Amino acid sequence: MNWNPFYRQPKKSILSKMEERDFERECAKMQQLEESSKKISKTSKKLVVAHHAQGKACGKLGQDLVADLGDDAPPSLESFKYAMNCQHILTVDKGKVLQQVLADPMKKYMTIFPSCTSHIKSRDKALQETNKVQAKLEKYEDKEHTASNSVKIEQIKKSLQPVKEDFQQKHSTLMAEMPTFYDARLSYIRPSLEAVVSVQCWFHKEAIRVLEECSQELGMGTKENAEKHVKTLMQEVNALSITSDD
Amino acid sequence: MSEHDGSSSGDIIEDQAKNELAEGNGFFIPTVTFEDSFEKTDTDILNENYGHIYESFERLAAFSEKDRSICNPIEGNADNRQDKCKHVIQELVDTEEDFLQDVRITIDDIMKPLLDTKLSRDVDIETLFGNIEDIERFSSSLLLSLREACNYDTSFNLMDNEELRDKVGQVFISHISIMTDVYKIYCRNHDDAITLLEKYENEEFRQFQCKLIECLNSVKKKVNAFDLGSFLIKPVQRILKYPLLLQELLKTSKQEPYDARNDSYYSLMEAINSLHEVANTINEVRRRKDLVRKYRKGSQEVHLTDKISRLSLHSVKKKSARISLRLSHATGINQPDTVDLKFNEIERDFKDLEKAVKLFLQNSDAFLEQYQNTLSMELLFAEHVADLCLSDQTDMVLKYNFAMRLVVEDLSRCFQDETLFNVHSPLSSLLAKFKGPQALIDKRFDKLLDYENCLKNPDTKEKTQMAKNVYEALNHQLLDELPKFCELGFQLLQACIGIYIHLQREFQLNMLKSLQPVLEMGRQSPLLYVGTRSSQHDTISIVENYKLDLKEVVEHWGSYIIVPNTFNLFSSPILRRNSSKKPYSKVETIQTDECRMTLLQKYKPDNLYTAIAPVTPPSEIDLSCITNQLFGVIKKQDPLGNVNKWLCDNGATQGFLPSRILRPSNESDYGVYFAQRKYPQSSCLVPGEQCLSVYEDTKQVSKHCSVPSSHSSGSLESYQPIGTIGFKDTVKPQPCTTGIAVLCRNDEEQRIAKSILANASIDEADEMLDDTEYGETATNPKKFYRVEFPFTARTTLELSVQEGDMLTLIVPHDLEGNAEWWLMADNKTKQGYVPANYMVKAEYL
Repeated sequence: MNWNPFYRQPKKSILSKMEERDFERECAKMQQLEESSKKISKTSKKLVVAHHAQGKACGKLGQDLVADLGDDAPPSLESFKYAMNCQHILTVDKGKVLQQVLADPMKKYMTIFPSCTSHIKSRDKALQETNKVQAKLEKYEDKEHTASNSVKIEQIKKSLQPVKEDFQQKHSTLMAEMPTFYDARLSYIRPSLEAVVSVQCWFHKEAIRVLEECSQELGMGTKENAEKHVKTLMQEVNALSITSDD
Repeated sequence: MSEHDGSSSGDIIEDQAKNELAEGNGFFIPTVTFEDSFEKTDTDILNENYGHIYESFERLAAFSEKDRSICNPIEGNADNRQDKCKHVIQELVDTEEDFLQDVRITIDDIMKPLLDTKLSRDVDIETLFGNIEDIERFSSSLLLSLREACNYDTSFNLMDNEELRDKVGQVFISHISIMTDVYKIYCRNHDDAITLLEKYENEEFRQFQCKLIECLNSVKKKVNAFDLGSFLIKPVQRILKYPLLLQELLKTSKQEPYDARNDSYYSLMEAINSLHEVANTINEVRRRKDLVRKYRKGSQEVHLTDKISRLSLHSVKKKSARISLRLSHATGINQPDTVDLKFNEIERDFKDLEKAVKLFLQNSDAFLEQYQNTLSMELLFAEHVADLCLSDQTDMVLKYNFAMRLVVEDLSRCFQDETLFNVHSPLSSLLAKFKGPQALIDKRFDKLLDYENCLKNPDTKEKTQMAKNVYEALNHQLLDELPKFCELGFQLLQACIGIYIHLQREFQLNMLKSLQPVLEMGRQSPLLYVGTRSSQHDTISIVENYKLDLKEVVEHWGSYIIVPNTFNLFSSPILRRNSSKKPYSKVETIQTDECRMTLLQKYKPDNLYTAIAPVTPPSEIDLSCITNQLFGVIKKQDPLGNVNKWLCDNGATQGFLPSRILRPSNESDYGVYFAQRKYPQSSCLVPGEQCLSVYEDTKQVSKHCSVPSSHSSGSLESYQPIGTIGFKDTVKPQPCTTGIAVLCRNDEEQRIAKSILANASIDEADEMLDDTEYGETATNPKKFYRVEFPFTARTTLELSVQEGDMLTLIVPHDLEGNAEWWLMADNKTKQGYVPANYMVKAEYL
């Protein structure tokens, strides 16, 4: 018994509270899934864009350097340009792969949700319909059992049958499919994740190869030596009288 | 000999500099102590008190001028001269010995102990002593040469004076170049050293002072000296002494200066002149250095008050003159006459380098930012995946998340810091160093303008000379050091790039290390063979593997109700277009009936063309097409006037197509398109009378049409298609249904016709897909065909047939693969080629 006057006793539904709650739960799960996959989809799109920008920046780095130093750019700088250009291409390739294994599939995945929602809506509608007919039936059943009423009841019962069946069918499919679909999210994202990791590893490997080649061509020794070299060069620059020493 | 003789041509600035130095640095030579005989003869010079050591250089130069013109070897008796000659040489060797000893003491007893003691970092011992070790080396070598030349230790007293003089002269000449190099550096450095020494007298350098005093005390036993300054000045004094001593030696020569045979006289003269040169060079170097020092600060921040206080009538006048010159120069009216090509080249190099460094820094910054952005996106992705998985997180997701977090938060930050520290900061400080030379370059230009101004409005000669001197000094200094600067800067840039590459490589390695375990957890690890194949291949294999994996997952999803029909991952054009072969391809539009209709309406028949071959667009402005697609040609050339590419309209979009694949189209041709679709064509439509009349018309036309002369090159348009009469109306620019309604007698038939049409378009679309997928039209020939039009064989290869004959299909194309000619057999087992569109499938025998 409820004492709250504003709390209207919900119309008696043909579904048990248990069933209703289960359904709600599944719907909530779907919603959550939609949200998180939306996030992934958005991020993946941004990721692809970021890769393009990164690649461009990388290419520019090499190109500008060689362009500015004019024709007498020595081969070491050319090899730097080449390395940066390779990285540019690699990054763009990586972006392309990400588009294929992540952005596109996620976009596709997102198309499922509106359809799912529409199914849920149509199930709700069917439920309402059924409830309405049910209520009507109950109303007549409460009335006197006159002949006309009996006929009416028969009629309503007859019309209730297909409505109810429709709803039941919709409800059961959704109840069957939503959990499986929800569970399938893992297997759906797994290939993408694996592909992303492999393309990342691939990128790193290729980049390492390119950079190694470049550092060989630059013929630089260990990092410490290079740092020392930089320091001495800096001192020499400072020692020149045309540079200010303060 | 007045003091002004030497510096009569000198400029005011120089004098100013001198005074500044003399007053500011308090740099006096205590007493120049020359020894006995020397003193007597050259009292006029030596008795003067030197205000400044560098004046003595100039005085020397002046003296030599006079000496060469006026001075004659002193008259006197021969013996006296003979003695004197030996005396002078002895003097020379002895003083050199003393000097060498002093220098050695300076090095061993002062410099080395100071270097060994750990002093605070501010004490710059190296600048203090300069290249004194080089001086020591030079001096010992000079001494050795002198001793050897004069047989100093053995038969010195027996030697002929002439020979001695000659030899001494030769020794000096041979040492001149080293002397110039060594003393130039030392003297240039000496000023700095004195300044430093003064600085170190402060309280804060007490430790240094103590140590110095300790050293000096130990030295005092060996030599008479007061402080470090007196040691440091010794080489400067020494270089001045050489010419005087040689001059003295020259005076002992009795020969007339014009006696050509006298080698000793000339070698000595030459040596003296060279020594003056050395003095001049040193002086010039110093002067330039002062100038550079003065102007280098030009660009540096100066307070407004300072600027105003510096403003004087002189400077205002100078500046305004420069502005007008600069203006005329900038507008190109007045090109400077004095052009130093070498300088221009160097200046360009300098500017290029500056720009390169600047851009490198900027770009590198941008790149780092982008990289950070990408990485944070990847981390976000990892987090979102974790979100998605919620409680059911697999190991892989967890590990991936962890690895990405490590990459972004540790590795990337570390990489960024190291790059900033090891690459950006040296380059930034290098970039800051560009300011000084830039200021000098500007100043040089100003001075050049001043100089030209002086040349044009002939002021006093003195003024012009002065302007010239300043300009030349600056120019020389820049010519001297700017290339060095560029070279060093360039090397620095290169070294930084090396470090940059190294850091990047390390970063990538670390990232790979942290991601590799995650990869191994996954089911697919296609990267085991990375390196053996091209990188392109790897990405493709990743995508292929992914597709295979995903296919397994979504295979049964089609049965789900909640999954919409459109969810068809692998037939989507988006995925297909990403295959690396077609970098630019747009979504491949399949020409719909509507598009065709619009084309037929929009363009005149002569502007309608069909494609005879599929085309993959090479760029975004090009159209893609498949065989038999209809196009309206808008212009038979591209914007550049190239007639090989035509601007076409496919009904939906416009773009360029190569003209070689376009053939004029007509409706009948279009009919062929339909004819190949193998529907139960006219059969259901035949009953109508109108249909029959159309039938008749077509037959008429067909008789007139020429039959292709060869099997292989039969052009499409020369055929009159046969099996399409029923559809003819439908392709005319009117709504399809009305076209069919005319042909159909009742509603039922109309319904059928509609459904056929609908099917037709669907089939068509399917078939076009097939075309693109498999390339070849998959005509699945029915075995029996009925001849619709009579055909007379023109060669033995062809088969004459009559209307209504039933033929059996053997091969649906000719030997060259032309599908318009089919090899048919009649029931009399005769075989031959028949035009394919003369026949229709025999649906019911």
